[in-house]
Amino acid sequence: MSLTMMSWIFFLIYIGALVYLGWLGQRKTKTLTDFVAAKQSYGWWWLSLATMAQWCSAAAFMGQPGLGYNIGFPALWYVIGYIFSGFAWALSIYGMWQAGARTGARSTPNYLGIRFNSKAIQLIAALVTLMMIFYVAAQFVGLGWVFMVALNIPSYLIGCIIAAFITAGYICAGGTHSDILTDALQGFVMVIVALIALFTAFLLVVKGGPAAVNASITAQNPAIGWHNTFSSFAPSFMPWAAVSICVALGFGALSPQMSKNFLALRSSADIKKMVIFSAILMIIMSFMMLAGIGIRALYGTHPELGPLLAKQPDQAIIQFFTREFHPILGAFLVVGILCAIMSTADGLYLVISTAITTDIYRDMIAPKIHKNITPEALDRRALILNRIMVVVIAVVSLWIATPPPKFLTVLLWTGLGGFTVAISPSLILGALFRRTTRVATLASMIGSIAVYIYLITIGGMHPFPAIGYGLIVSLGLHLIVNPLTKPEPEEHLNRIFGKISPK
Amino acid sequence: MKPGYVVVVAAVIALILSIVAALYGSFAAYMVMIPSWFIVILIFVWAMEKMGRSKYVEEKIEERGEKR
Repeated sequence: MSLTMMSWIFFLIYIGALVYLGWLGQRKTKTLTDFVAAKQSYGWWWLSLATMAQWCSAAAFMGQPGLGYNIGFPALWYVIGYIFSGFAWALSIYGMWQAGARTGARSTPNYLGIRFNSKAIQLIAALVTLMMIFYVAAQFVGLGWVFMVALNIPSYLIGCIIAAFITAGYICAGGTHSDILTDALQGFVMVIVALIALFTAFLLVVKGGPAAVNASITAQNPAIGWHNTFSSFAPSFMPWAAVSICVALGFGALSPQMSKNFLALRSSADIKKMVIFSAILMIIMSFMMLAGIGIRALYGTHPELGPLLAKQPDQAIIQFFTREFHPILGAFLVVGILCAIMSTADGLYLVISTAITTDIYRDMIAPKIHKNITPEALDRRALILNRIMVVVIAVVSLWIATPPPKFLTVLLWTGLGGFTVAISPSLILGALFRRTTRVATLASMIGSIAVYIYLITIGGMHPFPAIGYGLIVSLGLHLIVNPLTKPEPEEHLNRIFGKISPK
Repeated sequence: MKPGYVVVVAAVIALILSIVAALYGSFAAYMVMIPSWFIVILIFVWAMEKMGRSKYVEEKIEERGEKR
């Protein structure tokens, strides 16, 4: 049986599982809060797998092997950042869970608005979340390639449309419940695939193990070997940009599709388990970059694949899986890549649609223009709008993803960078320190997003170094403005976090 | 030593190790930074539990539920 036929069989089983879990999610969804937050509904292992799956996307399963293939060991700075993702989750989850459980916050912008008692902060966070549309588009780029190569679909666009239809379908049905259930399943498949990729594409691909891989790629280009700390030819992995992206992976991990999961954690006893298990899962995901480096050793001098992958390095992992494995295993691995991409796209639909319909319309505009409507009726209206908006976002993302860019990691970070610089530092500091003030948070958000947008548009800068500068502005403004401004009233802080913890 | 200070000391040690490892190349940086920062995460979790953050919250929320 051919690889394409096997891929279709696995694909249909996979879609069947997603539809079933989407239906389960739909049964659990009765209210707007169920749809956007699934508050305190899941244990640590569901949410650890789902959070990892939402963070590791097309970039993890295609972009990172592509970077490893093209840039070699210096590209490892990207996945070193994964351990900082785990650290950022640890720093923010305790405070955010407390606040969510006490105040009923139902999204990340909503949590920030409640934490700092400011509608302006909620509005800015919701608007910055809209930039994530580029992140969704990056997922479609990955899906288009996978469908073309593995499922033999003739058109990149058709592949994107099929994926958009499926993901939008189950998110419309069950919102956050469907998102968490399907992503946990997909995260489990991703872990298996990443472990297989590590052993086959890095440890065993060349006789002699990692040292032989290094010798092989160093012979192709000395600048990609492991003795190089940074890249001498790829601007995105030169010293400043490499360290920036490493740190940014920590702050970016608090993007709303992940941080909203903290609100869904059932009990505070699960927090430490979720933190530790999520960090371990992120370490496993870093193996995909090593796989890309191993594939370079294998295919770098191949007469046919060498020139092809030099032009499209993001295809390295798919070419490896489809060429080197028995069709059954190859097809399973291709489904793993689909899992990585679709699990991120679905969560992103949800946070963007929630930002528009719940954070902006339901919480700010609707109470002013519909004064005679009850909050429950407004919730019902926002729920319907949320479902419609998921479909609109899928269509707009498809439009952005056509035609595909050369490096999908760049498109992804263009969208993600805004949230990383403007919102994530305030999420961490606001969760950790009661002394973090509203004015400092506003200054940090506005200052950093302005600098970031200026650098990537007028300045024409790559997103990686631009994020580094944005984070300096964001953290610097917190450092300067916090001591100069009045802390939030103690009564307000006690309502959110409780009284200062007992000694 | 207070749990918060233990976390800071652990982070500083991990940072020094990271810089030293990076001098030996990108793969050495990867092999050292991942485990050392994972240990920092474990110490942070220990510190938060030691400070009783999560237990305290649980009690307060239960209290609120009872009042209702």
